[in-house]
Amino acid sequence: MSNNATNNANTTKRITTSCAVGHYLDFYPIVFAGGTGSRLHPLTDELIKALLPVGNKPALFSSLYMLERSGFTQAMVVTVPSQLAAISNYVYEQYPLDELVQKRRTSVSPMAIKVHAVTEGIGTADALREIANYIPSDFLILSSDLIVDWDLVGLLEQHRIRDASLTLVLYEDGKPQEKQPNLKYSSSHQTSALEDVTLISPGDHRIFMLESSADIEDQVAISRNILQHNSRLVLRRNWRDCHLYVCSHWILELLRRNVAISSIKAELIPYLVRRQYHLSKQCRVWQKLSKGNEQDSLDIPLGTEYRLEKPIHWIHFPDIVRCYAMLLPSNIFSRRMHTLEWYEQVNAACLKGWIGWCTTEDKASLKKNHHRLIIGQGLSLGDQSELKECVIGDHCHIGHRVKLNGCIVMDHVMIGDDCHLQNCIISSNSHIMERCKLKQCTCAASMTIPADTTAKGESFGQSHDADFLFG
Amino acid sequence: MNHYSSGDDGALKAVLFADFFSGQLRPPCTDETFCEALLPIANVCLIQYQLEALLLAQVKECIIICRESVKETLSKFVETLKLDMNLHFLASSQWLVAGDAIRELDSRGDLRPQSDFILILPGAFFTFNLAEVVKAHRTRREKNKNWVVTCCFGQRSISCSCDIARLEDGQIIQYSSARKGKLVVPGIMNMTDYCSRIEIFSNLEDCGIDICAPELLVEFRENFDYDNIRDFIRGKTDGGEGELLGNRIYGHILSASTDFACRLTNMESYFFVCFGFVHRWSYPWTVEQFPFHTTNYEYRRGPKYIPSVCTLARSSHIGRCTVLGENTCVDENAVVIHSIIGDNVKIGPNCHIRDSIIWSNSILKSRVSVCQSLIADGVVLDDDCVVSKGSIVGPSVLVDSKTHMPKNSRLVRSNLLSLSNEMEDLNIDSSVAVSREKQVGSASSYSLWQETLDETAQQQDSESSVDELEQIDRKESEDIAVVENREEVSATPDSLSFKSSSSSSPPMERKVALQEIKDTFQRALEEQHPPETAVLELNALKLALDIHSSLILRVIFPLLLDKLGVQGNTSQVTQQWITFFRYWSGVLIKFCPHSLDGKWILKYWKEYCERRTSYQKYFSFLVQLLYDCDVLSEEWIVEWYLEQVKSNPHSVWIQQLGTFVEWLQEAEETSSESEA
Repeated sequence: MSNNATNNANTTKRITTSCAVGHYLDFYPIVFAGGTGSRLHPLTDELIKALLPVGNKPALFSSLYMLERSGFTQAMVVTVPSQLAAISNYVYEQYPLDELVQKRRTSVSPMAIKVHAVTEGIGTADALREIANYIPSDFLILSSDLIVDWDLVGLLEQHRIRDASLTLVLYEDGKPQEKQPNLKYSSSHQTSALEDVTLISPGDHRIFMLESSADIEDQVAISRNILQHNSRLVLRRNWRDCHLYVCSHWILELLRRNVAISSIKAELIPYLVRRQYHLSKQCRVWQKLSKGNEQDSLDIPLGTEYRLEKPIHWIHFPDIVRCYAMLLPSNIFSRRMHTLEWYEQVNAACLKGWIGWCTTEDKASLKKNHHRLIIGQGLSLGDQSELKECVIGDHCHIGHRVKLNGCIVMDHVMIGDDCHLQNCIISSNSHIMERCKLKQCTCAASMTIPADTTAKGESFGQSHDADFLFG
Repeated sequence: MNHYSSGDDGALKAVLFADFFSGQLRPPCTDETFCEALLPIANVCLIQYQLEALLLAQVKECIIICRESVKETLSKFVETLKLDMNLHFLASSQWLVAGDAIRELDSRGDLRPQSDFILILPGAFFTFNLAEVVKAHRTRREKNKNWVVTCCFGQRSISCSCDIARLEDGQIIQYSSARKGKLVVPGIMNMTDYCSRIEIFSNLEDCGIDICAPELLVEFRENFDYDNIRDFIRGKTDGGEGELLGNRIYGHILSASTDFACRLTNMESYFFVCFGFVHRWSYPWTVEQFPFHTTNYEYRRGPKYIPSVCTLARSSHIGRCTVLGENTCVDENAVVIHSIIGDNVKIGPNCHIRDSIIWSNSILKSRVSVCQSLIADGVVLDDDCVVSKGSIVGPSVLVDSKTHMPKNSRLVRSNLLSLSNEMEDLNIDSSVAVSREKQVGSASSYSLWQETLDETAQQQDSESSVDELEQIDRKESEDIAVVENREEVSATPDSLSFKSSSSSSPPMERKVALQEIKDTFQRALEEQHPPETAVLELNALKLALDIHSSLILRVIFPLLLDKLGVQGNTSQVTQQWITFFRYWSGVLIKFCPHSLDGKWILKYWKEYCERRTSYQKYFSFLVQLLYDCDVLSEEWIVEWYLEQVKSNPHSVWIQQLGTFVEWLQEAEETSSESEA
């Protein structure tokens, strides 16, 4: 482990100075936690997307804990000023108190986390440009809405071995959901908008195209350069981008030069992936130019040389810019919880025990009518209640003869007697009055649902406009 | 159409193209009676390998398609083989393209295959057993009748490079044989399931082996613009999703390690196959084991194949990778390395032969040096001859002593040269654009055959011709271009279209045809027909009069130009022109498919401007306009521009077009990258 590991909270403030010295993992992780979560309406009316509970832990926990477990000694969480207070509160106060984190930190020095706020409302790439000066080395970008439990060492190892400029992580999406009539958010339009079309050479997993299917007009042109160097390619639609990227440091330089790029996912990554050969060509030109001119030492090829040990197989790669994909092993669950549908899936995965840090209640402690539950502290439960596959937050109050099936219930929720809820998401501080019958409903925070409400597939939010779901 | 029988009765048919219908391998195949199917590969003719491979696949009946002139030679030769197979010949001197032959086959009730058959394109050399592929094809057909064609692709491109995109079930959805340009994969969202994938293979060898259903013949009958076999695939893949959902083509990717297949289309691939065979890449068929060999070969390390009957001098050296023919005589101190020597060849003392192929009955006298060359039958090389790299010595040439042949030279007998010139006139020979007679040495029995690197040759280099027959077509169009251009210089633009007469069709007929096209289009222009209608009319005329589309272009483009006015100020004129060409561009695109046509447009427009000064300032504007309307591609403009720069760098036109071309070149660079 690194010799300058930071032990107390104060050093987090001085992180930029401390990381100039070598580290165990010379990658600097950046967690983007500033999303507004517009597709998670109405849950995100009052809650912050990065702090939405997944298996009773905020989503941000998943990212931070994964980094910590993978051996990172420092990390940066990027957010926006409006969320700064809540995020800092979580990162500095609550995260270190988590049981699992404490357990790990008994043996290993803690990961120093820094929260950084960037201008409100700018794109992810713009945010990266703003914090570029704090990034000392190659870096890792991950989105806080990615829920995956995976050791990142393998990924970093692959990045290093191939001396890649960019390594991104894909997971294979299985068959599309059978059209269950009760699945509420899977309108075909929405899923297709989220598809990624990838072009990968099957041998070394070099990636040549990663584009959202919305940007593709049903046909793909593959340039001669790519065909020449890769005799076999595979075009797929069901490999999804995890939004987990390992980038070379010079990409920051590229960003500085191309001010037009404002989003990582929509612009920067497709740009890099698509233009590998072109950029390589450009680099060589720059290289030639900069040889004569010492001043211009900021160019990409020189950027790749900053690492002291140059890979021995350097000569085997004629091109300088290389993007690779890493496919998640099929036994690892990964989803981004950026839509309600996938938020549910993520929580369902927690209940099924697919995510390591999520522990369901022991069978022994459960009552007769209860199956597969994750229950927070201080639950008061009425008689003859049936709970199935539910995630229930802290300090909830559930009345008598309540039936909950596949529900996500956040903290401080009160559910009256004789309620029947199926596949519902109830945000914190809500109150569901007696004898409600809700199916596939979503309820925003601090709402009160009047007694005897019967509803199916509705969302209860502050504004009563139904269109905001996809707004 | 539904005569499909499962074919279990064992009457598997094959259709074999024995003739190339083109001149990529000419010389040495200059003789009228010699065809490329008789090319020896390690002293056994190509057609023997093909027939043997078909026998292996249990083919009982084979139809051999060739020119009338070579039929006799071929049939005599094939008779000597005594194969257990019914052989039929289908020959004609009328065919211009392979599609014609296919259509004729379709019309012949006695020969027409009633069930699935194997189609061997010209020059296909393969040693693997097709039976498995045929079986797989039949199983597919039983499940779904739409699988009409199975194409075989080798994994490493040798001569017929192509790129394909294939669905998970093996259906080819894109096929491109152009080495340049990108591959456009269509129908990503609609054609594929969410979980399926599209495989893209580049640099495959289109080895010219297809398993076809009889429906293919119907397709050719219905689409009589299909010139060569691959037009069928192109027609399917370019026809949009509707076509792709109909008859389907299966792409069979051959194993890289066990299946040896390639197409002989040029010297390079011929040498590749010959030495591949010597290197035993085509195992289980090897030189010493091939059943047709009458010669008894001894396989030695190296590999070397020495026949039992041959005379080797003590001091001679036979190096690695060498095949010697029967009765070969290698004299004292002669060195033979990495070469294939035919039967009855005499190699004199102190000869040096390296990386070469020598056919039968040649005599090399003393101190002859041959390097990376091909010596055909019955050649005599006198003392101290030097044959340098890349040379070809045609059949029965006598070379005097101390002749030094330069690199890449071609020697043929003079009488053959004149013969081939005749052939060229008949549009049979196309690859040799200009053959220049030049005496080498003192004897006048042979001449130097030189291919000048003119446009045609370059084009053939740059285009990977999947089917050589295509080039005849192009040649024809070029003929017209040449004829017309010659006349344009002298004639006024109004009258020029009618004066052109081509050697290929009687002048009167052509004149009538042109007049008819002109009238039709004139009417369309005056009556403001929708462009689609005009295209239909012209297409009907094209088919009825049997003329080439570029000819139509040469009629309609001048007419269009005549419609343009230059009255009024610049913005009015440009506006007017834009609307005009936007309207008619569809017609131009339809009849301007080839780069030669595009260049003709540019040239014609340049000359048009030269004659009429008022048009001069719009020169580059119209070029841009045509580019915007997709009539001219950027490559054509850039190419034409560069040619012009070479010939006359200071002309007004070059200066006018300069900025636009610069912009094009930049845009091309970025777009080619960005659309990856």
